Amino acid sequence: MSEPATPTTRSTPPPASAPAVDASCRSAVLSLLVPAAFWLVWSSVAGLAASIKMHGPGFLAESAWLSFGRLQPASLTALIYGFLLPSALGTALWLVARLGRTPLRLGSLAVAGALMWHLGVAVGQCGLLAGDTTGHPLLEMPGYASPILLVGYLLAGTAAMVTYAARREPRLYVSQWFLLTALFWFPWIYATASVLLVASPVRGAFQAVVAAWYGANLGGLCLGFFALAALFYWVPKELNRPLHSEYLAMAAFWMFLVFCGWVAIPTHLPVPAWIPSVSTVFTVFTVVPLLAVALNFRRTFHGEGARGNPVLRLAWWSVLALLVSGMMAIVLAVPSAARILAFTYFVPAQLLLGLYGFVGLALMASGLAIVPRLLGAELPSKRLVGVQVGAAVAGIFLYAGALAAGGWMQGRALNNPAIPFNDVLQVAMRGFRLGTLGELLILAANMAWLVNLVWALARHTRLAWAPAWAEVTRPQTTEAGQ
Amino acid sequence: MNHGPLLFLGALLALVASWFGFIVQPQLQLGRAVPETNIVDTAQVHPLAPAGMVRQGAEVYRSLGCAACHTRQVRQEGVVFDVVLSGAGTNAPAVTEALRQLGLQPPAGDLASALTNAPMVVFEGVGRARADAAVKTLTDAGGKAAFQVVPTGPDILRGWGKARSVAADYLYEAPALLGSQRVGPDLSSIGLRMPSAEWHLQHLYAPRAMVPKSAMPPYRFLFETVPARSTPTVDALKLPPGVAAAPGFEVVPTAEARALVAYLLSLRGQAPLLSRPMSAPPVAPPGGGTNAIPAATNTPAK
Repeated sequence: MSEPATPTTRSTPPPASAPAVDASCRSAVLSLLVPAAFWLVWSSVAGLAASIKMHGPGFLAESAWLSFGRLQPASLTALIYGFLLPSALGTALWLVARLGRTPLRLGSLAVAGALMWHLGVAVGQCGLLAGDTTGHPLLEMPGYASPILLVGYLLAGTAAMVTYAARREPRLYVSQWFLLTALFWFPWIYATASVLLVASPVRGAFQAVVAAWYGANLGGLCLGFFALAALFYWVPKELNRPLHSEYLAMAAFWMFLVFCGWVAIPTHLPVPAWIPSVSTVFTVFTVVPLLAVALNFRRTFHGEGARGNPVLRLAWWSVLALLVSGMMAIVLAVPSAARILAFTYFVPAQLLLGLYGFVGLALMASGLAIVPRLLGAELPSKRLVGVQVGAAVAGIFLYAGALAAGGWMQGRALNNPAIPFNDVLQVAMRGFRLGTLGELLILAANMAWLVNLVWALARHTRLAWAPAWAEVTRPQTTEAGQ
Repeated sequence: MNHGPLLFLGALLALVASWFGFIVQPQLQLGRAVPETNIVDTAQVHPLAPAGMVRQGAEVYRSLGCAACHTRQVRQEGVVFDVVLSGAGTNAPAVTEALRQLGLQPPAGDLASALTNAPMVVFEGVGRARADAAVKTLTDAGGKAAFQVVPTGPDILRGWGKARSVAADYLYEAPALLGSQRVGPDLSSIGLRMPSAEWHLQHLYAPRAMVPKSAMPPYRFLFETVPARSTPTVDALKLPPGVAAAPGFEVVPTAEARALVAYLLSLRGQAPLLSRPMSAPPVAPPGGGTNAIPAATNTPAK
């Protein structure tokens, strides 16, 4: 993916200062992060509405736009394409510039890309609610949104790549390896999935393989790698201590790279048996890099914990969510366990713990750390930050725990044909009720982040315009006084 | 020394390996799949190309996200065997003796005529070795015996299908809506389990009127409430008192609702294929082997 440090013969310009880097990134990163915070709130609102429908099917049942089968994928795709991917891109742009000690190149291209991306998400969400869903898990936003998203991504991604090439710090840090891989791999898998599932669908059940492969690569090698890049940067940075072992991190990088593309094809898919079997083997292998990453962070934290620092607190829980969701994915890949757990709430519990718990919390941590640097001021409300961190962590673990336990009971009941089907659902609902409480907490956390971010932006804008405003409204006096 | 290009190539290879393995290779294996003509015991083709109304219904199914709660894939844990004796041949006493050897009580009276009236199930749900041995014993004695393959598993015991789903079942589907969540029951063979179009329409309009405690939301937007005419519309739903339209009004399904029901009725389980051995007789599609779809009618639910 990248080159090791090589002594260059051409004269490189001197490394840029941190404030200069921050200033160059400001508009590009904010135009990715701010709309992302809106999508995050929309995602949890749609998720909560879908969740309430599970308890009372008559809720909001009068309109096709608000049917469960549309709200639920809308919630998930808004989380992935609305919040996670643009937040990851924003983090990537900032990190590539900061680690390369160079101002962001092609900043206006990145801004255009960001706006285009978010336009694509808006088109996709409207299309989905209008009934144009593709029907493929994690790729539900309609096909006409895909080109907009892809072009937007390529514009912002180009800025990141050009900035990387123009770096003034030859030494590479592990975060850059993860970042560049994810940056490169997303357009490949997204284009593959969009073409083979939507534009010119492959035959029959093979679509399910393509969709599962896309989901695994999106979650692991793209979103997961972006999140790990952020964690590997922010944890040592905020602890003010080097990473325990860069070699261990690199070992995990290569193992994830080799294994993660093959994971998470459901064992029950009606396709030739070698496909899920190979996938099971690779999924079990991922236990090694998972433990390597967890060990690396454990040693880096050195038993000190988060010291009340919100970025570190989110990062700590994010690593835990990675470990737990990774283990849940391995359990789901073992046929004897999947026999019980497939088709139950255990599957969405694992998915959301990975997406929101691991990737989401890591990118939130990154946002909490980057935004004050970009704006040159602390976030307006420390209390809102506390609410965000506490509610997000409690919410996602409550949600995942309740649904995983409910899913286990649901699966046991499903596999007992003596239990009538309607009673199976009553069993599962016990877990689901707690899950809804978790979703409420997640909504509160997301609202807190949005409010804090918009507040910070408003304050920054006011302060930025204040001198100009003062200039305009200044009484006409001589400048002798100053 | 500059290892850059080498590292880049290594990383690229690692990434692209899974793309070749799970995208390119299955495309070579499955991409050119054609309908199978080798349904066991019949000359039918599987699967049949769906009729126009069924295809429209599949679009409604996709658009409303029905697959968020319903799977359409049946799992199977294995197979067991039934041994059936269908004739005594020319040497009834020998077959009677063979049955005794197998530890069974032969039916009273004349074995040959008893078997002609009703073939005798010698063993049910036994393993392959025992079934083979029993068939051999009975055949050696001159009887006409065979074993039947019976797929097993909770999904099959729930009546969701006669055997597991295989790739061939989804040949004509784009998107193939397999589903991943069983909030609602599996629909692989809903057209067999619930063959009444009227029932499906009523159920879509008011699920809890048909299935108590159902978690399915009512899909009232697939129906229109119109002023009743002097003679009731042919399509008007017969609804139980709690959910019926106000006096002077009647509920009629839209084209979307009718298409969706046509699609549901077209889901008629799994045919026996060489890749899916089972002895259950294939279900003949309605209309004598064509793929015509039963129209929505007012036939009351059975």
